[in-house]
Amino acid sequence: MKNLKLFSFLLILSIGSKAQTTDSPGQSNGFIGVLGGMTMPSGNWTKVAYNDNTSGYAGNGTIFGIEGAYFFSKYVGIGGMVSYSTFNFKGLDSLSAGYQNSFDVDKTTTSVNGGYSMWTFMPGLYLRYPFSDKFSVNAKVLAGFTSTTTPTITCDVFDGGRDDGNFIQQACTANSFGYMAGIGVSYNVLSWLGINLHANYLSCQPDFYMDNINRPANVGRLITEYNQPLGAMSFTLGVAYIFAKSK
Amino acid sequence: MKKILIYVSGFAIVAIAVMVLSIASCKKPETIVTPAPPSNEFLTTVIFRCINSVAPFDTTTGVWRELNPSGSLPPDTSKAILNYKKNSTYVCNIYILDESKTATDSLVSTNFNINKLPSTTVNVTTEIRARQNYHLICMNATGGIATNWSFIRTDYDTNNPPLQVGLNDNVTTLATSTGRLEITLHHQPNVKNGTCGPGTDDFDVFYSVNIQ
Repeated sequence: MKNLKLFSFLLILSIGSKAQTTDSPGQSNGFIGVLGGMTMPSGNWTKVAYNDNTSGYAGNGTIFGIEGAYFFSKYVGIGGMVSYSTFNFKGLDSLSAGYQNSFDVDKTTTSVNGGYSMWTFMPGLYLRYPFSDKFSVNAKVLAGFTSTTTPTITCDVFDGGRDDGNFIQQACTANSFGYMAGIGVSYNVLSWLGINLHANYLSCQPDFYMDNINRPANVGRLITEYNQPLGAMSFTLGVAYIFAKSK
Repeated sequence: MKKILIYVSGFAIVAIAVMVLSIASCKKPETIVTPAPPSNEFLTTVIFRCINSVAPFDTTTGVWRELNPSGSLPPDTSKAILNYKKNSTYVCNIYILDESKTATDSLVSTNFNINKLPSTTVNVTTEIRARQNYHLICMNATGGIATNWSFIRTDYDTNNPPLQVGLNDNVTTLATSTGRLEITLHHQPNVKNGTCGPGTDDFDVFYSVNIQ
């Protein structure tokens, strides 16, 4: 219901804006550019509690991508964003200590090959409010496809001077629907070049099914499925090529 | 002014490039080594108690004890003796204690009650039960009892499929004989497969066995 109200509001705004004159400030037809920044995950997947199977051990990361939009009126446009994000693995020491305690062994050596990675392909609606030819505030609501990959976690167990072998939680990729909402400011440095500063919130809920290798004993943290909402706030800086103004 | 803004744009481009490059560095593998924290708990005492399934007054309890954790002194095997009646069936339990902080006059005897231990004695059996998925007790009878003493395991862990643990057994005796019973507790983290081979030994104790 909330989504319907939002859509109706945007539709009315879009139709209304078509009546505006075309020589008011900040009316380029659109833009296409690159962006980069930092990502901050939120939700259960940031937890680092060994005994909580909703813990995802996700930490801050980086994002880069391509974004573009075409404005068919002063305020409203359509566009999209393709982005690639990474999320560091945080709390590896806690995970390794958890394994050591669960198996009650002399030593565990736990490794992770990077962290999470996420591709997003999201079209959607872009809104802007120009204050001058150069400066505008904008917002966007996007929805589309996400593809997220979990890290590979390897734990080697040592006890009594013997290596009891390692077990592996293998990397897993899952696709899901996702949405993104963002606000930001844009400044046109030149008639064809602009800088965008945006804050975006992304949410999706992929259902991961992990393969675990060499887990003969039912001991310790064993994740075979992970289905938690993955939220992430991103702060990006971008440069964009600005399409010519409407005549 | 325009120049400054162009510089700002250039800075933005460089900043994005740096961020993209930083992604590669963030994907570096990471490894953590976690040693076991210092522990103050020992397995000093192993008790094997068997109760005749049809005559409960026929109970035999063997106590194997080694109070010196370093192992520099020989274990006390004076009470590590099991006396069975021939052609009988017994329900048997293994109890594992840490009596390293218990005064000598309070050490458990063969008449002990597992529910009434001195406060300084730790019942390690509960820990082994909690960690049964990677522990296995093995028993090996030698001498005359090799063919006259046998056991059937009655407790299993929660592995899939369930594997034997060995804290509870049913023992069957046949003809009169004597021999030696070796009991070992195997710690098999991530390698438990139902056999005694993998892992390391948490204890290795012996009892003299008489079947009369």
